[in-house]
Amino acid sequence: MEYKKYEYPSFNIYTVKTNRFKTCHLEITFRSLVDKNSFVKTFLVDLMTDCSKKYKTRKEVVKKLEELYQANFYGVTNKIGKTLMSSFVLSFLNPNYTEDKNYLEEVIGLPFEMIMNPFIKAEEFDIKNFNIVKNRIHDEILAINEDINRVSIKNALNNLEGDTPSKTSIIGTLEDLELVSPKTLNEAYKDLLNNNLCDIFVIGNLDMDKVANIIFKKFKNPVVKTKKDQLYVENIMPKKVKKITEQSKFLETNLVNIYNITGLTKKEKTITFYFYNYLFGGGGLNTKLYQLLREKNSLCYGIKSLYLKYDNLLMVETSVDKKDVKKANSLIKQAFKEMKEGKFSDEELESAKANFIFSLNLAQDNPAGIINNYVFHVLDDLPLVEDRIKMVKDITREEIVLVAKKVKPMISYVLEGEQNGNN
Amino acid sequence: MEIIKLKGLDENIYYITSKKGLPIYIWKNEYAKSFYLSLNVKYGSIHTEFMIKNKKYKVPNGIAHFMEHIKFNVDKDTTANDLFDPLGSDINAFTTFRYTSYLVYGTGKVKENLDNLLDYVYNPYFTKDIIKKEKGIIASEINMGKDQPFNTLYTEFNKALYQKDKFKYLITGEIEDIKNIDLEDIELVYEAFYHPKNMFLVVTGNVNPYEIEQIVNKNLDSKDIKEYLNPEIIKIKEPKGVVKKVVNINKEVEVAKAKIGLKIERKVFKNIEKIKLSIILGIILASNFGDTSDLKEELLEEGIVTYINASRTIQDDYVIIDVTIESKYIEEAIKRIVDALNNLKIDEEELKRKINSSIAALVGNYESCESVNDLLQSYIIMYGDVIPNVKEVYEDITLDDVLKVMGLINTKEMVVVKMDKES
Repeated sequence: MEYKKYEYPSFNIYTVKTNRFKTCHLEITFRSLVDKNSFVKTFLVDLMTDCSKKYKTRKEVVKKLEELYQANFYGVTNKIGKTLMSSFVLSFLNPNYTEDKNYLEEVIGLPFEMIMNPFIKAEEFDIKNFNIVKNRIHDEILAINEDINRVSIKNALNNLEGDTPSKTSIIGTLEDLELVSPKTLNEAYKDLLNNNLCDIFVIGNLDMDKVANIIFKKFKNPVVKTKKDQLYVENIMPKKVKKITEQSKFLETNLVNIYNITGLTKKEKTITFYFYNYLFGGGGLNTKLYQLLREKNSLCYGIKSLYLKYDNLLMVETSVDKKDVKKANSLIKQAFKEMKEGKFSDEELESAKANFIFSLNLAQDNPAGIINNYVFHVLDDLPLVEDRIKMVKDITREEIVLVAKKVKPMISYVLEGEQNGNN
Repeated sequence: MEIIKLKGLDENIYYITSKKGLPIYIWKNEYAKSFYLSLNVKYGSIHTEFMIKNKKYKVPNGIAHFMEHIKFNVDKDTTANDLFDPLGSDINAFTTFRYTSYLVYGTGKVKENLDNLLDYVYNPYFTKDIIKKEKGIIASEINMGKDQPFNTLYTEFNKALYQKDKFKYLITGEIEDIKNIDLEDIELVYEAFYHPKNMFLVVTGNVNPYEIEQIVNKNLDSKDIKEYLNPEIIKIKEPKGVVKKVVNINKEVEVAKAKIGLKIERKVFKNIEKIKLSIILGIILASNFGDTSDLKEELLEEGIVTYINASRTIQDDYVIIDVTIESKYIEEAIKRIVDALNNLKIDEEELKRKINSSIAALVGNYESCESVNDLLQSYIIMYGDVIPNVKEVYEDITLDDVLKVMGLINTKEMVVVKMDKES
C-alpha cells in the first residue's frame, strides 16, 4: 500500500494506492466542535446527500448512482470526543471494470457536485426535501425508544456530570428538530464550508495524481487551515458513584455501567487501554466479562465493554433478567478486580494479543477499514496498523495492571424490564 | 478438483467432494490478508420432522439453534473459543430456517484453524448439564428478540402467512419449546444431520485449494464417521391460503409499522428457473418500492412513510413477497402499498439501469472474503449449487420476461400485519 499526501491551502488529500480491491472509497470529512446545535449538522448532511441543484430528489441521485455502476453515496455524522465529524462517503467500482472513459471524473465529481451546489433557493434549502428528511429524523428519534440498548445507553450517559460533549446527542430531540428550518440549514451549510476543517481520503487502485487533480478542479473550498482539531473530553467525576434504576416496557433488563479513565499516557490511550478493554470485555468470547457472566453463570446472552477513547470513558453493557442485576453487578466488579490484580494467565494474554492483532488485520481487508485507520492517523496521530501490531506484541502484564488501576466507576444504570424469573 | 468459472466475472470457484463426502467450495483471493471458513449443516429450524429408515421422528422447535449453541462445548473444560483463541482467530455461528453455519475468521495458520473447525463440529460432546446451562442463555436471547419490534412484526407476519409450514415458528423456538429439549433429541439430530454428506464447507481467502482438500481429507480420515443415515425431511403440504388476512399487533412502538405480503404458488411462475425468477422479482420490487420508484418518492413527499423496504423469498412451493413500512398514517400507507402491488410497473430504461447496476454490484462483491463466503452459502442453500452464469442470467433478462412475471403476481392471498399502540 502506498500512502501519499496532497496539500492544498484549504484541505489535504490523503491517498492509499492498493490493487487489493475492486472498489474504491472516497471520504470528504468536515470537522467542527460539538455543541448544543450539533444535531443541525446531522440534518444538513442527510439533506445534502438527498438532493442538489442538479439532482433534485433522492430518486434522481440514486438513478445517477446506478448509472455510475452502482456507486454508493451517503452522509454520516460522528462524534469523536469534542469533535463533530460530518462525512460524505462515496464508494465506487474501479474504472478498470467499466467501459466508460470519463467514469473516474464523473464519479468523483458527484459528491463535490452535491456539496458545492446544494438545492438552495433564496438562502433556503428546498422545502420538499427538507420535509422528507425532517420526517425521517423525527422517526429515527422516536425509534431510539424502541431499542433497549440505545435507550439505556442514552439514559446512562445523560447522568454524566455537567454539560459534557459526551452526552450530546448528534441526532437531537423532537424539540431540537422543531428548531431546524430551511433557513437555519442554509446558515449551517455556510458554516460547514467556511469554518469547518476539511480533509479528503481516497483508497483504490487509481492514479492518485489524477484523482487529486480532479478533486482540486471540482472542490473550491474556501477555508484555509489555521485551526487544530480538539478531540479529548475530560469528564468530571461525581462525588460518589451514581446508582440509577428506571422502569421500562421491555422484557429484558439492561445494565449500563460507566467508568472514567483518568491519567492515561498517549501510548496507554492508543494501545494499552484498547488492549486492556479487549481482554476485559471488548474482544471475542473469551473476555473476562463474557466468561464470568455468560459462561460460568449463564446470566446473559452477551456482555461487552466499550472503550470510548475520546471521552475517556469505559462502558459496560449487558442484558439480564431483572432478578439477576445484583449478581451481574457483583461479577462485573469481580472482573475489574481480577484485571487490577493481573489475574489472567500468560496463555490468555497471548491469545488476546493474537486476537487483537487479528482484528487489526481484518480491518485491512476492506477499503473502509483502511480509510478509517488513516483518518485517525491523521487526526490523532494514531499509529498505522502495521505499527500498532508491533506495539501490541510488546504489551506487558504490568502495563495492563497499570491502566486497570486508572478505571474509576461513575454511573451504574439499570433499565428494568418486565420479565422476571421466567427463564 | 473442478474449477467452476464464473462467467464474465473473471473469478473461479474450486470445487471438490472430500473422500468422506463433504463438498468443499473454495474462492481464492491472493490479495486478502484474512480467510473465512464456514462449515455448514443443511439443518435449520424448519427441519423438526423427519424419517430415518421408515421411522418418523419429531423434535422440539428451536433445536437447530440450540444445537448451534451447545456445539461450542468441546469437553467438560474446553469450549471452541479455547481452540481458536491461541490461533488469534475469531469464531461465530448462526442458524437460519434452512441451515446452520459454523464460522471461523482468521489471518494465519489456516491448517490449524480448519482442523479445529472440523474437530469441534464433528465432536459429539453433549451432556445434560450443558443442555441445562444453555437454556437460560437462550431464553435471554429469545426475550431480546421479542424486545425488537421488527422481529415481532416478522414473526407475526409468518404466523399469518403459513398454516402448517415450519416457517411460522421462531428460529430460536419459544421458551416453552426449549424447555422440552433433552439430551436424546440433541443426539438424534447430531447423528442424523451432522454428517459430511449433509454438510458443505466454504473457504474464501488467500488459500491454496489443494492444501485445503488435503487438510480436510486427512482430518476426516482420522475420524470415525459413521454411515450416513440419509434422513428425509417430512414435507409439509402448505395450503394455498393464508391463515389471517389482517393482523393487528398492539405494541408500545413509537412509530407504527406494517408488513404487507403476498403468498403466491410457485407453480404460477411455471418453468422460470429459480435464480432468474428471484432476480426478476428483485428488479420488480426495487423499481416499484425502492429509491428510484415513483411510489417511494410520492409517499416520502407526502409524509406518509419514513421507511419502506420490499423483499422476496422463493420457497419450494411458494413465492413470498413482502413490503415493510413505518408510518404515522399507517392505514393510508397500507392502502397505497396494496394499490401499488395491484398495479406493478416497469419500463425499458429502468430495467436496463437496474440490470447494469446489479452486474456492477456483482463484480464489486468479489473483493471481500466474507461477502463471497456468504454469497456461496446462499447459492448452495437456495439453488443447490454455485451459479456460474449469474451475469449471463442478468444480461439475458428482457422486458418481456419481466412483464410476464409481473403479470403472474396476484394479490389473492395477501396478508397485512400492522403494529401500533392502538391496534
